[in-house]
Amino acid sequence: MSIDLETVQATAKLAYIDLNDDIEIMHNKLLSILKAVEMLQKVDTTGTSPFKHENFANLNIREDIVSCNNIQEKLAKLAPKFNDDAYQIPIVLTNTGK
Amino acid sequence: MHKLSIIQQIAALRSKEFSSLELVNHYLNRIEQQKGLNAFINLDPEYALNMAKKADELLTTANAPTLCGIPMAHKDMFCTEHLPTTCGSKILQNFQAPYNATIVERLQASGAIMLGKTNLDEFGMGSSGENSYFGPTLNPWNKDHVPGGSSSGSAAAVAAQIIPFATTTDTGGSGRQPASFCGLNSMKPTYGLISRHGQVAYASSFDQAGALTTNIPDLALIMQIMAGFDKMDSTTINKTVPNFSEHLDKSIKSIKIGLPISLLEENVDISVKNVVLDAAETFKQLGAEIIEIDINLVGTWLSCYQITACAEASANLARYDGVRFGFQSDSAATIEELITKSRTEGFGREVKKRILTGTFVLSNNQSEHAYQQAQKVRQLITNELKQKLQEVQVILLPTAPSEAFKLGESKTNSKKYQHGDMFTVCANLAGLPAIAFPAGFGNNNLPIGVQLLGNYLSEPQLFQIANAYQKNTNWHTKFPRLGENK
Repeated sequence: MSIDLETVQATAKLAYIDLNDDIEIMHNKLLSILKAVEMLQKVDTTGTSPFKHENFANLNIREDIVSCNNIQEKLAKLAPKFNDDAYQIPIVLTNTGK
Repeated sequence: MHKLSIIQQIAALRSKEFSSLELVNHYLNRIEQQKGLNAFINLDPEYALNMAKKADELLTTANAPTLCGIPMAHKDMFCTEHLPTTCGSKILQNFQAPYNATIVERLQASGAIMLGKTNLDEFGMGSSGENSYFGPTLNPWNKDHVPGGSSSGSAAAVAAQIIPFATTTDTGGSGRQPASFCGLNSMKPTYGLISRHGQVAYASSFDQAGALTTNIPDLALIMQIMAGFDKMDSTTINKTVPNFSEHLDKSIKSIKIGLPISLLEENVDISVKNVVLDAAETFKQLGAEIIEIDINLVGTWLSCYQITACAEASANLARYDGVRFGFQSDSAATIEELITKSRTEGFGREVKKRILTGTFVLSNNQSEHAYQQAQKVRQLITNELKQKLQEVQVILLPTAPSEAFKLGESKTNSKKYQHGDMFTVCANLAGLPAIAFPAGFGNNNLPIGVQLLGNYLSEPQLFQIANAYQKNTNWHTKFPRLGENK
């Protein structure tokens, strides 16, 4: 198995990251992880289930109760841009006039 | 004052040998003198001094909690209402958390006073302390060397005795490896012993909080306060936490300690190997039985860790979109561009590497099922360790395969750097506890640590064995000589 630069770029797009000058570094990183993947594929895992922590059988799940948790003010303070009850982002829809 | 253990400081505060205000002032002065270590990202002396005055009032009553008036620092990976929580990243440079992490609440309720937040590898990703947006932290033993990571600032600060203790996170060794590099004590507890609520997530099924101290009884005390069920974290274990300190002075006679001697032959510095063998000899003299064991899956540990932890990291760090909180790029024309530019400008290179690795593992056709297969191997690794821990009570391992690297060496000697986690990741993969403590020095006169890996919820026994070692050795009493370094 190998990875071409196109795959590196496609992976970066999925991760919402521009590689700019780092494409070679990231290419090498993914090639090394591919070796790790190949190594693990050689391990016989027949009959083995994917890992679970010992206490996952007894997780403490919260009760499903309706509660009022309007914390808009708190969240708004954290946002880089927040106006008129909304996060401010570049325009998504434009009126083309048709 | 800084030469006293935390337990001694608690007694001195109660017997009015000195006040909390004097103690906090003393540490603030030491922090100022050692600014050059770059151990702290944010400090608030005024807040700390006010808290100290309140602590002194409380200390005159019978209601003073255990750590009342004791200064401490939090790794800047824990949410605190008071100071910013940056995770060592530009993307969270000005992030002010709206709530305290559970461990922050618990330590605060026990009277501890936070002086500041410590530097770290960005989002806990790194083993040198060099991957921080706020610059590298230096090792107080030798400022040309790194303190280890990712809990770099916590380790440098405790080793320099500019803070009595500091918190850590340990995803693949981030608490124990810097403990080894700086001559300190740290524990990665059983997964679920300590709440992750308010601990910024890196790899959720690996992450556990811990602490760094100068001795084992102090560590037992701090871990006791942090441990226990929390309804805000569904993965915490709902069982009563035993009293760790009660186990500290028990004999270790006839305890079986496994020694995987073949692991010391490859990629391990000779000085580290000698330190581990010397530690085994000390345990033997204390009445423990040393049993040589083999661990067959050790060659898969690092690969399995990289695949599974990066997969979780890519999912956890997807939340940083530049819209809801954190850094936002100011040059975007579309929403896609806004997210991409904010992340590209906000994350450092090591974080991007791990996000990309995780995204690749979870998405690419060529590596289909890679994550599932890695999770199965992770179960096999766990099964093997648990099986060995039926034959012996604990396994003795090096903490790190070398002394602290030189600054910049992680970039030029990547093999050595990549192997840095090789002995620590197993505890995180299997969710088992491990305790690290100092056990010698290497050729560069830098500290070397060892660790004991124990069975599920065997923390009391780990404290018992580590303390037996410490009562009969003096490595933990050695500290770096510090010049004034502003």
